[in-house]
Amino acid sequence: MRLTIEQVSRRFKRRQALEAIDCELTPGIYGLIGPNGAGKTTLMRILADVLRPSSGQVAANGTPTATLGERYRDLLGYLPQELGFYSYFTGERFMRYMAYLKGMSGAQAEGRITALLRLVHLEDQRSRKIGHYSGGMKRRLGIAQALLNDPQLLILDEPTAGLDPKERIRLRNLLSDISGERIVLLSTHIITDIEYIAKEVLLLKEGRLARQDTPERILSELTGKVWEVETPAERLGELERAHLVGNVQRRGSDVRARVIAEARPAGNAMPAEPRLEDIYLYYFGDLPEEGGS
Amino acid sequence: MNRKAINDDLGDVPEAELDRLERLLDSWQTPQAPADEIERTIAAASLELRLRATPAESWPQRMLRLLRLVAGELPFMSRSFWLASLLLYAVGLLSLLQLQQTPELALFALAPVPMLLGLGESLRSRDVGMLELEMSCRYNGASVMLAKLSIVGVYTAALNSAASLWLSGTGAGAQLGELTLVWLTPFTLTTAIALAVIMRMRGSQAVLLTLAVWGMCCLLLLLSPELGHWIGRLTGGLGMMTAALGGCAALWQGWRVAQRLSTERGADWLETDH
Repeated sequence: MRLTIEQVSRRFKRRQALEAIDCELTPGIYGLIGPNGAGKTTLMRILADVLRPSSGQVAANGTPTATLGERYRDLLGYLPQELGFYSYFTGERFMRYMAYLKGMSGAQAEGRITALLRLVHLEDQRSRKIGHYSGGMKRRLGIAQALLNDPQLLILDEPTAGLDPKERIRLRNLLSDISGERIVLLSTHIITDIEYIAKEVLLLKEGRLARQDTPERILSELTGKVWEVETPAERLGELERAHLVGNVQRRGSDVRARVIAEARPAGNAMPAEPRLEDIYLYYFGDLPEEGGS
Repeated sequence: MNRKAINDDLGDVPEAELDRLERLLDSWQTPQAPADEIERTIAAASLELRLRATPAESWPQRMLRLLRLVAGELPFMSRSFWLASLLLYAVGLLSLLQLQQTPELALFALAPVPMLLGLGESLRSRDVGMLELEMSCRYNGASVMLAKLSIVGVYTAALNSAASLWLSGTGAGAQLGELTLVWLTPFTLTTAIALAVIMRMRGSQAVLLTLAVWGMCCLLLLLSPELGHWIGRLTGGLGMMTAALGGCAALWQGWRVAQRLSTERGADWLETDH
């Protein structure tokens, strides 16, 4: 599948949420990153056919999704950022309901529901009402429903929000396994979620696509610009005023700071290996918020 | 195809001619396509096959599917809605009759109640935040909502019809046709008003508001015999006209709700200004 986003813009009453987004997605994992309000959720909603663009179009293998309509929705699995549930549904009833909305027959759904609930470790909880599920369990159930129809396009908006580190690793591995012949678009504030699995990273800034490239190529841009500086704590403010400062580690009366600078920021600065987190800082001037919004 | 098979097929072609043909074919090269190009072709073909396996539906097919959707939605609706609305309706009807009210007034007051409660149930997905997920499915949010509204509408009509049948058979002097006209007007008109209100606020709040306003209207009718007499006029041509008007208004508002979801794609319901 080839998904083409052509000049997609979306305007709300007072604000331009997306501005002329142009890109093409082919099978593999894409990480969508950007600060709050960058337009990630709006873009994902447009790709999930939940929201229409003000202008431009999305096309699957050259056919506009507006023309394909429900045949396009047949191809996609979607996990919204804020997902509510009917609290009186059990996990299994919810999955049946979703299978039914996705046009699956009872027989088709039966085995798939069991397999997916097992995959997200909710098999034992299938008869429990969702109202009694924890936040992480609800998120896992949301991931399971997104996979019900064996989607060619999987859109996951902050899938790891509320998951514990073990579950996050499991999800990462799962996505890596299933991404072979499908497009997986994943938005997250937790950079490590995509650092090792993303084929390409899409950086969204103020509604515009600031960059689309492989993590390696984006990282190479920062080679020689990332430094680790050890400095007295009272001089940290000075360093922050002059450069982009990332993670700061306190070491007694000193601090060790990760700094992005074109030239060596201090005499004792040591060059460091760039990471995606540094890219975030470089492009957005701030560190990603853990846990998302 | 090997040489022997070719010979069998072209038995009368001279051997030298076949040799010449073979040499000619040997001179043609068919370069192997790059692996990524082959993969892209396979991916495109598999998507195309999947799309062709589900061709676009015609209108009759869509209507049939909507009916199937209605049937399929039934088991997923909250059981408490069925119980609460049935109980409220039955208890209300018996209580009003006990209060020496006319069958017309009892029916008039209770006619829209199951529908109003059902509107809350139909729009619950929006209230609990499941609408976005439903909209991304094959049977999208608009179809699901229309299906639920149809179920609740038919259920309310069935309850009112059953009550009309019962009241016309009790010898209270009311005719079935007249009673039907009496409940049709409040049922359709309040549905239209509630649908208009529901587009502007949460479903549960809209239902509470409409029920409260309707309750007050009914109280006024109970306390004022002059107004009560007015209900008697709904049994004739006026009743037919107001019921038809209400029906059109309800259908129009229902259509607007569906349109809001399918054309604007939840721009107002899903997305605030962020």
